Amino acid sequence: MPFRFTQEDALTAWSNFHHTIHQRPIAHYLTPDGLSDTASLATPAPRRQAAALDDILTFCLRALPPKRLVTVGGTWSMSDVLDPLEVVLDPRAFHQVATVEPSMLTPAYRASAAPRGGVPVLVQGGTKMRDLNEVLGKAGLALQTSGANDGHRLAGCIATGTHGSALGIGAVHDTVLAVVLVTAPGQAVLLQPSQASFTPALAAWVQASTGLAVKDDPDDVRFAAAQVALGALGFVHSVVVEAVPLYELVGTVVPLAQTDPRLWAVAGRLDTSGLDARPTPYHVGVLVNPYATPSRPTGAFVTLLWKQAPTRPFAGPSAASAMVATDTSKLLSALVPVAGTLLPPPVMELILSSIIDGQYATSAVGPLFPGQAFGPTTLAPGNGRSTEVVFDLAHGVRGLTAIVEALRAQARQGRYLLGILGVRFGPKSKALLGMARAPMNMYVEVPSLGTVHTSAIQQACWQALRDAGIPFTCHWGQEHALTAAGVTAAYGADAARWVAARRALLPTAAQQQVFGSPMLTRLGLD
Amino acid sequence: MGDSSERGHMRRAWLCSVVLAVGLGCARHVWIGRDPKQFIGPAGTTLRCPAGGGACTTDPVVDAARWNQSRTARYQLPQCPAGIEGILIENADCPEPNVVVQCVEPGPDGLGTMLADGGVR
Ligand SMILES: Cc1cc2nc3c(=O)[nH]c(=O)nc-3n(C[C@H](O)[C@H](O)[C@H](O)COP(=O)(O)OP(=O)(O)OC[C@H]3O[C@@H](n4cnc5c(N)ncnc54)[C@H](O)[C@@H]3O)c2cc1C
Repeated sequence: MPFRFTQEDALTAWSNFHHTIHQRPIAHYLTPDGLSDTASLATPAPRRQAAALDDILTFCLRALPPKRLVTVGGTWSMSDVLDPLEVVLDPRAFHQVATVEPSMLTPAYRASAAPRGGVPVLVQGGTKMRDLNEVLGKAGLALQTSGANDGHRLAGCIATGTHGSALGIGAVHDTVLAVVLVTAPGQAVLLQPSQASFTPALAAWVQASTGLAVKDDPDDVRFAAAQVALGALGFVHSVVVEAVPLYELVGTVVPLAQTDPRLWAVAGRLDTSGLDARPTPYHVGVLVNPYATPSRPTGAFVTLLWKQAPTRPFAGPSAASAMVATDTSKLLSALVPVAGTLLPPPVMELILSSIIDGQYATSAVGPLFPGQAFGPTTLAPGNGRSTEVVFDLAHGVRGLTAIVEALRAQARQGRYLLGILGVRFGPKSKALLGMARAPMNMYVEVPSLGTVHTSAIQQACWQALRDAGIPFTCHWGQEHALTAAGVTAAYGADAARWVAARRALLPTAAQQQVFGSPMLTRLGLD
Repeated sequence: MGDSSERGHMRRAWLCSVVLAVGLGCARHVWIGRDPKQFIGPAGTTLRCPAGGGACTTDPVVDAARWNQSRTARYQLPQCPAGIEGILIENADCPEPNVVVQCVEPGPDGLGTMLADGGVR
């Protein structure tokens, strides 16, 4: 079937960024508005895109059985939240960014946003975070928070609950004010909370631009479902994020021994007063080297960043290339398990600690614009593995200790993580499937170059938390320990509300199949 | 000694035949250029780019014939509306290496303003 305004390719081998999905054939790789023919230009881009979506959705819905449609973001997810089959939609052309016309803001929103200088910006779902930072920065604006890097796309980023460590803000989806979902050919819905930020004029504007029938839907539950949608509620056409006036981040990285009580004051109660007298930072992150001896002065690195008004003209991040070539990283991945069985743990741990020390220098940080602080990744693509667990900060010290102990126990059996633990923090999310469930939460990321031992190491971390009796949930976009029972335990009634919202947005069985996935079925979310 | 010198000679002969075989079988140069039918403008400055990724500098050699050498594998660049991110020549020592071109992904034009009747300025 020819798809209007769409480049269609048959791919023989498609891999995601980290190759947790490797060389998969894709029969229909569809890029709306991906043609460079001049004939298309007579139709405005939003109309071309809507026509392409119509054809793609019709193709998937009318097939018997309906064909699953997977929209890719930056392909940075490692879990089966991104699990493409036969039909893939690449939304790279959906990259328009525009400030919402002030007359479309409700008086209530205007009043609430004024103290923080909030500026609603409508961003199409395929926009790369790096481009978004650039466009906003040039206009004197910035995102309130982001993940640590910028290669993902906005819709993909929020789909899995991507977060940074901005203590007062939360995850990226917590800064979202509205989401435009395309749920069927020609049909879209603009979801926002019942305390609406936008008058129906915004939905009318999207309708006039695209030709889609756009329903304004101020509904708390459906909006909270769409904030973390797992790619399963429809095609995310656009997202309204609240930007704020451009700012800089400035602060320090402080190395600490793992016996230093100041480390545990941060990890246990976000008390940074022992490290810096300034009031609570905007961003707090901790890197923990699981293989450092207790007295090693660089057992952990605490990053504290404060916000300040810009002191210089906006600049984007410097280009970064991967620290090592992917094949070198794969060689390391192959060698380390062998070395781990040959060398005694103290020697291995010394080697790993020296490498870590070489990478994470102590220093003053900034001033940096947010897009510079959280810019391009230096990870080699094609060989990364990672899991991230999230739990109540009240269990912070015990949880982090349990994970470090588990990693050390694995090391004694010759199994090493080729990475460093990343600890971040965030308040409770309003999203139904937001991973941050407690009033304040600790995220512990366990990243590694892939080795034959990585899965065992991840499982050991999850088991350590279970053994310690610490309830946790996992990052949806990273490798995870989730089961249907685990989702029910962690999300309770919110999971049921999410499923109900999904059924309301996608009322037919065909729609549910098109936007469904094996992961949803496995986790009881379909 | 005589023996080893003989072996040395044989080794050289063997190496020579390998070099010859490679020389005959391999295109030694790779040319990657635009579609000749798409005239954008006359050829301009020639730059030479160092291995390792440093900045390219003006090539001190001016020689139109270099573009037309024998044993040159020729490839045509795709049209990338926003430019070329990079070109990977896979297995450059093979007779017909694979050339993989990555286009720049077009991004937003800037922060737009909504127009009353739909669309963005
Ligand atoms: C180098 C690196 C650094 C990372 N850093 C962080 C970090 O700091 N914090 C953090 O929390 N996570 C982090 N992650 C995880 C990452 O942010 C998430 O996995 C995120 O979801 C990836 O976004 P993406 O654009 O690549 O989406 P993808 O991985 O491509 O897709 C994610 C989901 O979104 C869906 N989707 C994408 N676009 C659309 C659309 N338009 N409509 C409907 N569904 C859509 C996909 O189908 C899929 O279900 C990192 C990952 C990597 C590789």
